Amino acid sequence: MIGASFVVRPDFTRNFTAHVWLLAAPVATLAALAGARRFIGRDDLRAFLCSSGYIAGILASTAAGLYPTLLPAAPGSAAPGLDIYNAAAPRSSLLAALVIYLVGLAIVSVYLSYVYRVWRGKSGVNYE
Amino acid sequence: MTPEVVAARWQFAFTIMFHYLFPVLTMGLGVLIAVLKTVELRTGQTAYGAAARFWARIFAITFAAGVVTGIPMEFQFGTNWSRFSRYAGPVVGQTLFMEGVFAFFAESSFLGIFLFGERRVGPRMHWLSAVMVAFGAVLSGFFIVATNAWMQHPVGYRVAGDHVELTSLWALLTNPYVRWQYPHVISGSLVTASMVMAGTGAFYLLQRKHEDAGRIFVRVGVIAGAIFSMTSLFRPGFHGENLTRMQPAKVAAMEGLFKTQNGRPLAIIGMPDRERQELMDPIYVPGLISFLAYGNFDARVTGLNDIPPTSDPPVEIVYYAYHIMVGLGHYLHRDPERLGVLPVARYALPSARDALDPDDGRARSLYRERGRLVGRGSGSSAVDRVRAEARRRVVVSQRHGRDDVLHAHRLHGTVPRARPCSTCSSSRASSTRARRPRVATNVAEHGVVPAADVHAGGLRRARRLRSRPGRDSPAARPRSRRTGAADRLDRPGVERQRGVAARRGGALVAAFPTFYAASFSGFYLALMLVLWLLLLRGIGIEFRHQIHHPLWEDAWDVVFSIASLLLALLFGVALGNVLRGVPFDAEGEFRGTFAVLLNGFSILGGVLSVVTLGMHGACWAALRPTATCRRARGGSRRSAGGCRPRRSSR
Repeated sequence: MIGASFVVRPDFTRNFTAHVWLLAAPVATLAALAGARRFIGRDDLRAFLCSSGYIAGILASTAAGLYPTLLPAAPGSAAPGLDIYNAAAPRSSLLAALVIYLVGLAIVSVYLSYVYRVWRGKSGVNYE
Repeated sequence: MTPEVVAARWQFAFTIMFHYLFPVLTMGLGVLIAVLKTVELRTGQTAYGAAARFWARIFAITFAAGVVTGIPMEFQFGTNWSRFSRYAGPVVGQTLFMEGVFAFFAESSFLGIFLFGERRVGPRMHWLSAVMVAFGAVLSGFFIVATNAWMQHPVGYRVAGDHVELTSLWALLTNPYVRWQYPHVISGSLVTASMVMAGTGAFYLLQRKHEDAGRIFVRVGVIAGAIFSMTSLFRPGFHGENLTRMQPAKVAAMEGLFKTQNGRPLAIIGMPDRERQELMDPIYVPGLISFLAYGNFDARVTGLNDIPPTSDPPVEIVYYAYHIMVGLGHYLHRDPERLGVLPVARYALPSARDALDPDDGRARSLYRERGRLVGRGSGSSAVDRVRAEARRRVVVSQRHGRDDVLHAHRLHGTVPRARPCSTCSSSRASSTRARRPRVATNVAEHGVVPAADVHAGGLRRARRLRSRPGRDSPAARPRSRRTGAADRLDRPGVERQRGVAARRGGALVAAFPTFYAASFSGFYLALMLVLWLLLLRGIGIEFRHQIHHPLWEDAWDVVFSIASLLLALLFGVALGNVLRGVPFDAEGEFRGTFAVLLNGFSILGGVLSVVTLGMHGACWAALRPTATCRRARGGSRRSAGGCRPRRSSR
């Protein structure tokens, strides 16, 4: 898949060569994958965390490679692809959305952490 | 209009009509459940708690149906009305986004606590969760109505090139239109829920089943219904006053006013004839429209002859829908005197409890009547929607002025007509998972959702294996939904996750309207497929628990698993295409078929996605159960083994 990615998108290396620190994302992805492989069957928690990290890593690497493109145009398209600049909403809308997001997420994180605390721990079979 | 536009309008009209049946019940029911819990907390009568639990299950199923019918609506903003999304997204996206972040998330999270956490949280917290569910439902309605109100009466924006820009979020939320429309919607919803509750109680009493519960339902339903049907009686008049000023074309069509005149009479009945430009065989109340609109029996009311042809509303649809609504509404209003007040006086007094005796002939007839009213409450709300929506297409046009309308027509094709829906519009589905507008919004969403879901999938498999030994002995099976261990494992999570997939919509519309418009209309078939899979998953997990029969449960488990698997595959395919790029035409629209999206690279992405998420689900299934489940877990691992990391695709 990685190899194939470079075939279909030769410019995928552009961001990584321009900003070497972005390579942290694919490196972390591979590390998480190796970790998942090692911990599966031995340490369930670490295996789960590695697996989560692996998924996050795939997405982060894709994002790092594509930035600032959202939806690239295939060769032969009449219009350029969509990037965060030509697809973005006006500044005022983005600003409002950011404020909504920050306030909203602060509230959500409070009760969501409560929900997760209520259901913390292991679940057992309980046929009453 | 091209046939495609007609088809798109029919599709969208059906979607919103069908969707609206559900939130209209949940908004009111949430409040009534909170009332039941409050009575339980204050008086200690556990029967009220049991009634709350009963209605919470109805609420949950209706809520789920609201989500799965709301998701198509959210999708159709992009698939059917992509230019509307592009044009108005910077404004309407805000309220849809807020609905998701502030209301939907609260509603679904606290519903999870209410349904499954009664034994884990204290009575006060359980009561609070009921209140928060009601609050979330009602607040959710507010944001959706605010979205709709902007489309009726746009405020706090300016037109910039080919789209609108938000100039004031505050103005958007305090739109004068909302002040009238919102109480109208909420009181309609409360009346509907009261009728459903009282009608169900009446049915039980007539059937001589669950009579204690039936009494509570009738008592609470009748009292609430009497109160709210009285309040909704006064609203349409005030709202009408508002409408006359802001949307004269709408009022003209509603009332069948073909000519502008002073001292306009109100037609109680009559048939609009567009060719002859008059109302046939009318029965008039002199000067009443002028009075309702302007407080003066001689005031001048604009007729259709003074409405510009571009804003010409479809008179018949609007007229009949409005009159059916008013007719049904007044049937309900007759109710407080005949059916409401008297029973309230009797039921509200504990000493008069024998008045509920089902053997009393008079009480029986009241119960029957109550049962019939259930249908009328919902019918009235639904027809109201038709009335409101059918008129909508003209509205933004008027506000922009005629030149702008034409401009808009030319520029945006269907925009002025494609006003997406309303109050209902994706009450649930439009909700947005709180997510930063960032480069990989779509990528992240696509990835995270199935990952979370596969947890549930893995657990499901684990549970099936666990419960298999007991399958032949009914005693060994979980008796109660609430106490089944597997339910505790995955249902609260699923309750939250259910709408997640659709929630990116609001955030996307708000932040990247062009992306939303281009990708949703372009990936039409793929998104319809995703939609079906999401619906099947939602239905699968909800229906599974309704009948405890192995055949039924297995069938829905299979549906759920296959839908999850295909979703994981499709999301991977989507990610593959995002990497690979898609063909655009000169207008910046995606041109291509579903087959274009299914290429070697994207299918490879799909396989990677299935493998990765399968591994993740297996890890989660291994992590969560206690040691006593581990034997079963061994089984689940084997079953999930196919998904365990072989990385053949790498």
